[in-house]
Amino acid sequence: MTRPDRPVTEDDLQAWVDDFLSPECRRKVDVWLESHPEARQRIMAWRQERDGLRTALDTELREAMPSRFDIGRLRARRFTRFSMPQMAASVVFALSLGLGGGWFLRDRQVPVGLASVEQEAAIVQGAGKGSTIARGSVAQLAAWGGSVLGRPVQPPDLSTAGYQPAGGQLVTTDHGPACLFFYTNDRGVRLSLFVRPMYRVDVTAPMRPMHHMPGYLWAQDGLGVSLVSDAPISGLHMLANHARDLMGEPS
Amino acid sequence: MRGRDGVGDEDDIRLQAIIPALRRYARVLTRDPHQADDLVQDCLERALTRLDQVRGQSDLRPWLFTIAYRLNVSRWRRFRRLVPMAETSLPEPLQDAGQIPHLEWQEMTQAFGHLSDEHRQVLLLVGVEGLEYRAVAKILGVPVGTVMSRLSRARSALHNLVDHEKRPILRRVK
Repeated sequence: MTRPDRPVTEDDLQAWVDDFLSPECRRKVDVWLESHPEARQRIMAWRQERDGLRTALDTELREAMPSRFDIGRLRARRFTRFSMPQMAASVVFALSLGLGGGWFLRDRQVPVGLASVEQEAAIVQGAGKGSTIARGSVAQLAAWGGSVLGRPVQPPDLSTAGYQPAGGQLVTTDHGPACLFFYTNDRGVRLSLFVRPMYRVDVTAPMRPMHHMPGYLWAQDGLGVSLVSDAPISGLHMLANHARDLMGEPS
Repeated sequence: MRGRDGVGDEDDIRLQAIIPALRRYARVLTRDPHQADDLVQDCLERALTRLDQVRGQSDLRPWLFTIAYRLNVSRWRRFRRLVPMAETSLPEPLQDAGQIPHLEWQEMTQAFGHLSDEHRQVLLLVGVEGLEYRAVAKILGVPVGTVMSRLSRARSALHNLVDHEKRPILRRVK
């Protein structure tokens, strides 16, 4: 950077701080600094501050790495996201049919497997109210859902427990399309059943309670399912078992 | 699926190893840890589709930082379109200082947070990451001379802020 025949420049001083000078230039700048104490003081301070900033910002590097940044997972996710032609179809469905305004579930935290089903179910539970398709169209939704999800989707008949179909939605998630079915009973309790295909992780998984809301989730035959209640009710676990059994029956 | 076109585990491991530095740069870009991590994710997703372009490059940071920088610019533009100007004044002066355990580091981080975006970026890329001036110029899409003058002004600005505090904030230097 510095040739012997030209004076030391500001750039040389920066390069001195950053150790980018060749040994020869470095010597030359060092000699120059001996007769320029203010400059010397200035760049010493810069270097100290550079080191201080490094140390300060290094603490950020020691934070635990969120699992969403696992390259293997990102690759797998990319694979499921882009290799699925139905994805585009689902977006078109949701938008053109105006199901709930065709909103997207962009869950940026992206857990995998059953945990992702749980997160998505929790989101749609809150978001879907008041924007559902008519109850008479549930069968149609099931048919659409079946074609978009690439497999038959039949909402279980929960009428023996007093719950009637009350509508539904087709939604898109980061993991592809999903179906949402609503049920109500005569006391106004509302259930939502969230169904989407599972890819590779938790293709079948035992039932467990959801963490932040009254609900249960499980995976069967490659479908992730959750049953969530608007309000805490007794017997929800049994109801979920019932739904799982019904969905497991060949239709 | 792994192993497509010979892009294999080794690249994945290299990419994985840089993520902490990428997160740090993203925080400098966005000034917000959550937005930063969203940016990191977008950046990684994009990087995964282009990993074969950089095979053989010993240091993946300039490439990744360039992606992050450009993504952030386009995000910011999008945001600007959606939100009226009045609401997009400069973001809060940086981050959760509470995450940083030592007082002197907090002060340094705070001083850093008061700098302009341009100054913070150049200090991070050159001073902290140790990238060469030319690499930084490429990342930011500016001439090397601009990097040099920004660097000089950024160092002076940081020094003034730190000096102003009148505390021996750099006692503990590695």
